[in-house]
Amino acid sequence: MLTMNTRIRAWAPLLAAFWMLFPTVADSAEGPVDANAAVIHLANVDHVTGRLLDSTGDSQLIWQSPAFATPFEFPVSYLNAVHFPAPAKLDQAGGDYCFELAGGDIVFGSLVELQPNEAVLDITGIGVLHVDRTILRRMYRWKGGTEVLYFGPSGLTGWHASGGTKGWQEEAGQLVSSQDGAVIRRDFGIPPQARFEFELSWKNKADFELAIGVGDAKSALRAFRFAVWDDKIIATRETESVMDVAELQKNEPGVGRIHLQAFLDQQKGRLLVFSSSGQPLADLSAASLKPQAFGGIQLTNKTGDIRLERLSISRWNGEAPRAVESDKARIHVTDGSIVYGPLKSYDAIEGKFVIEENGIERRLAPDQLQDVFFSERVANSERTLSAVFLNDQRLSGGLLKVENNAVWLKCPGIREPIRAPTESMRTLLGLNPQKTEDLPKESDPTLRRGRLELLGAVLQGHLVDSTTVPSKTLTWKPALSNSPSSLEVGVSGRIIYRDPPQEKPQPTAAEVRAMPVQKQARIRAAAESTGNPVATAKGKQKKPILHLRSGDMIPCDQATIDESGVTFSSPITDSTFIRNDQLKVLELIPDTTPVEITKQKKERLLMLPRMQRDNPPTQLIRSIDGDYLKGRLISMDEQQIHMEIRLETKTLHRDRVARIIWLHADEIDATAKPSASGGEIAGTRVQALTDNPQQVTLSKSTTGDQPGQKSVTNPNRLTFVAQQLDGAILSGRSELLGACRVDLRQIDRLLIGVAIEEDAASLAFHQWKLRAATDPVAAREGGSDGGEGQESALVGKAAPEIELDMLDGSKFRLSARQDKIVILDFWASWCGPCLQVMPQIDKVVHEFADQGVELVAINLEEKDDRIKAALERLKLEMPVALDRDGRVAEKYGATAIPQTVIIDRTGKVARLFVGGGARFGDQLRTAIEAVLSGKPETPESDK
Amino acid sequence: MRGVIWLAGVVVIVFAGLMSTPVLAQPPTVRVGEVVPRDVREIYDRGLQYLANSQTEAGDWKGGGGEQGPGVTGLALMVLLASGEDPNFGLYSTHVRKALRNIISQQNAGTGYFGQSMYHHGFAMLALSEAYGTVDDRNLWTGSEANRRSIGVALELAVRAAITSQKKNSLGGWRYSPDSNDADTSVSGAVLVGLLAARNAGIEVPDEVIDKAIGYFSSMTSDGGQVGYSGGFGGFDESFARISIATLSYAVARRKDLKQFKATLAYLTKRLENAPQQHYAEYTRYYQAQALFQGDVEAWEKWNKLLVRQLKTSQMPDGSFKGQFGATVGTSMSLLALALNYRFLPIYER
Repeated sequence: MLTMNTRIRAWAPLLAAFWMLFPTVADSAEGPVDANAAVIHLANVDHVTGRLLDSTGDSQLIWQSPAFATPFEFPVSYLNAVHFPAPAKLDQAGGDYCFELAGGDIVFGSLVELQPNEAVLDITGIGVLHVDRTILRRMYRWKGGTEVLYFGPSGLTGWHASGGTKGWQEEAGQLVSSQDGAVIRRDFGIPPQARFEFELSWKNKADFELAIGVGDAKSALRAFRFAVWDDKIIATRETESVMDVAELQKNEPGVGRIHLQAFLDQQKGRLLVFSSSGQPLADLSAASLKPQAFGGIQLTNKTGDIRLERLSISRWNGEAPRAVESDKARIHVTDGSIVYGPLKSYDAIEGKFVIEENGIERRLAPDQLQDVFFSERVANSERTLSAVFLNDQRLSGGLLKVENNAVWLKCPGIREPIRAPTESMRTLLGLNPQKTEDLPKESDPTLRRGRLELLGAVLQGHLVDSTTVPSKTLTWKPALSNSPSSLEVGVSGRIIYRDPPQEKPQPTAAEVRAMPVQKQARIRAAAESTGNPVATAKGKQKKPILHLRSGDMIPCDQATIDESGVTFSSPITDSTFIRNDQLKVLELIPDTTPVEITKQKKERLLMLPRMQRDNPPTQLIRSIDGDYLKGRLISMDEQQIHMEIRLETKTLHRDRVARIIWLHADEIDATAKPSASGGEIAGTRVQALTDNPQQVTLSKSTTGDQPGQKSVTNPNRLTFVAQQLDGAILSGRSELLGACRVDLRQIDRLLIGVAIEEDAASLAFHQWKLRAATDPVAAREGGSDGGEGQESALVGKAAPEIELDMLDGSKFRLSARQDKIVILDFWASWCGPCLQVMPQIDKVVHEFADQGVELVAINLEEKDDRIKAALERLKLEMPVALDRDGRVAEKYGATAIPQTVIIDRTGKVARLFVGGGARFGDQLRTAIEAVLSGKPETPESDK
Repeated sequence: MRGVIWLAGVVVIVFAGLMSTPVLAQPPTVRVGEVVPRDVREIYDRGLQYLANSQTEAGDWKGGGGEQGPGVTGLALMVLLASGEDPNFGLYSTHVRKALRNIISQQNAGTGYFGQSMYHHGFAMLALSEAYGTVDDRNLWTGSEANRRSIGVALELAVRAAITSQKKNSLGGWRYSPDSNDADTSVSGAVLVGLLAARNAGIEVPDEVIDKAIGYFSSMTSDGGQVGYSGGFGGFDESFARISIATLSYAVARRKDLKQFKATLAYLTKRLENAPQQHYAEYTRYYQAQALFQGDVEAWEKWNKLLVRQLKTSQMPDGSFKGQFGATVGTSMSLLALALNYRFLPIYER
């Protein structure tokens, strides 16, 4: 006889449509990533949160992720970017000048010295730098940014997107969208005359619209706009009477970018557009009949993708910049003249710049100097990294070292090494990340390459043989890291070896009717959501199957149930007992004919009445005919099932029951996260998973591929505690199944930790869970639940007329109270919450008595003496109208009381509150004040 | 009328048959009474241990961070009496005597009032009634303590105090203070059940006293079976505790003929699955158990299953039950709700 350890069991094919069972494993299961963690992005789109550790040399960054025991070593050539967390508030850099250097570098500061070959700059936050003249590109007056209204972008903060910011993401502060029709807008308080400089880029297709000087979405249509017309990028404006348009550049398919300067005069209706180097591109005139200056900008991604990389807005004096010979060194003087010639030096003693124009020296005071363009003189030097600072400065160069949370760079042309502390950086960019095709490939065929997905990390790579790297947990070698690292204990995630198949759309009812009968039945079976359909040997009764909450399935014989769990025997395990809390379904008759169950019926079945909230049913059983019964299963033997239904014990014949579904109390809270079950064996719990078991054999054994497997049902999930990886064979132990092993080359995914339960929660059977009935509004503390009384459909409509007898014998007619604010309080003496709020309402209404606010308490269908007794007890004197037949309450939809209605002076329902609570008085006071101040009700659709 | 009547015995057998857990028979020498489900026995024993261990040398209960006084001592005493152990020679006989001495020693010799509030007075009176005739008090007092009264004398005095208090009350009920002219159904229930137990134990309680109190409860019961708390009409919420108090009072007063009894009982039996509110859960269970048991044994059987399940999960590792009034009250009331399964206390007779 074979022992457990030597037996192998093939898990034979499943026949049914598996696409149903595995909705795409989305990032949603990962939960929120710590927004304060730095993230490294690699050239192959991998990323992982963590922090930079000290390193020396120019070749690699040492990166410690909280999910891994030891750091990774990522070569600088594989770096895309490190994004550091940004503080809530960003400071603008000070300094007199903005210096643009070679390689796109930008710094702000003051000029200490200017020599023919070298400039000495004092840079904000960095210090004094000796800069080679050959890398100076441009220098212009910055004045500490006072002329600058905006320099960015730095994230989505401050921007408003219609329909939520869903369509927009921020990447390194830049605004990115690939969602069709995504619109984002921001008000900058742009003055009537302003200068803009912006850079937009796209990866696949440009189809955007950038409108400048906009107020709201409507005004954007009349604003100056940059847009894409087929193969052209244009600037345009269309007013009530005129339209002007100019082509700016060709729009080639695929990746592209545009970098422009624009000068806008909203009063005159004029827009001047220049290239980034100062070449005039367009001069548009289209004045509106009623010129208006708007302060905002709106960017729309129409059908392409777009990235706003840079946007600066500054004041403009309205003088058109002159045309320039852009390739020549030149100086723009504040009087508008342009001097062609190099800026030779700065005479610090005299405080003047020395310029050579046509061989003649000229001297200019600093306040005469507007903008200096140096001629381009140097080829690109070796730069591998660019440090982008939070204050928008950027410097690039080669890596020297990482030390004490600071990156040291050697920038070509700058004498001093640059220290860039991580807390002052927004991004560390890799400037030459290797192309995908140049990235290293794993050649070892025994290794299965996959994609590890954890909270805050996606890393392609492979699991490392535990015989070479001994570890208590799984060890991962990212393809782009020089070193592997072991997962920390308790980490949850998944390794994707093959992505799950795409979910197919559900056929429509008409399509189903058009299908052959057999296929219809299959669809219905799917609609019934029975779970994993299982293969049937022809003409043979199938074994019962236990489905665990982890997603594992166990074929079993002789299952019996008591109040603690299921006792069984199974050919695939020596275990004979599973606790209730580990179980999801026992399919007694797996081949049960599917019966259609409507969504409504299913919802009704799974609704937990409030009465049973503290005594929820624990099982749902389905008969072979498709009937369902909820209750508490007390026991099941070979013949009978004893079930407690509403505290009465009923006996059912076991052969009439097709399956038993366990309903767990912890499933009722829809927001609760699944928790790990089982796992009493120390180590990392994993679940091997395959979408296509026809071709795969998951084996449960520690040794070889010996024949002799029994024909049993075929789970496609196997959960166990991983203990060893030998080549591609991962082995371990399951509390339930004993020794387990899987060949990684045959599985599609490997789930780790609590991700097992999260993934199983999406299985069809796992959708059968109780849902708590909602509380009526009046039953909640605070009654109307903090609402503002504007939720009712009656709000904003004319108040239904009321004509009632009063308790004091007079008559009440609502229409006779026009120009009063009338408070209606629907109540009855048997209604505790009503009596609780009545004194509050009375008190609050009294406060407003001199402002024409009146209270009428409308009593529902009670006798006079009862009403009087109630008022006497409450020591209240208030006008009570008698709604003897409940008609008025019906008109006002008062199906739950207390209900309090505020009717404004025009006879419209201004507010309607259902429920009371201890703080209702305050709520009512606020509402009356709002109605008195004429604040209109907000229609529900606007909220 | 001491002992368990035949119907109760049948009930237990039926009940035991319904439970799937093994039923353990006990040797008749150990306990006089019925076989009870194992869960019940285990919960009760653990709670009993907690109370036995937390009794002070003076005979009362001061731990558990809550209410203390003669009424609390009385409740805990009833748990000891309801355990089935012989109160005179059994495991807890010393605890029983200490508790009795403690209660009696606090009684005002002149007025018969046990002090603190009429709640305490009612529960202390009930406990003495249950002990009266069961506990041999010939040697209750050993030294020269003050207030060396027998249980019977103390009970007579207590009954007189309750009657005097009612006479001052125009509503025919009781409130916290013995001199109050206001009443509420919660305090009134505690005193009335104490008086009914004393009457069942053989102490003379005039019919008019009971009739007046029942009249008060009737006036506080709505046609739908809801019971108000205080004042002339319904309180602010549905209270299973008050509805149960009224049901129990009508039943023990042998006034099941009243429409109010039928209404309150129907209210309870139609809502068996309604677990007690978070507030006063132990207090509610204490009365709900007795009300259902006295009103509709079949309904009680069903409800009792739920009770056992709830107590099983809410019992603390030390055997106690938490509650608004502290662990002594929480434990005592939870166990007394469960004690209907034993039916050793005279007040549990049907």
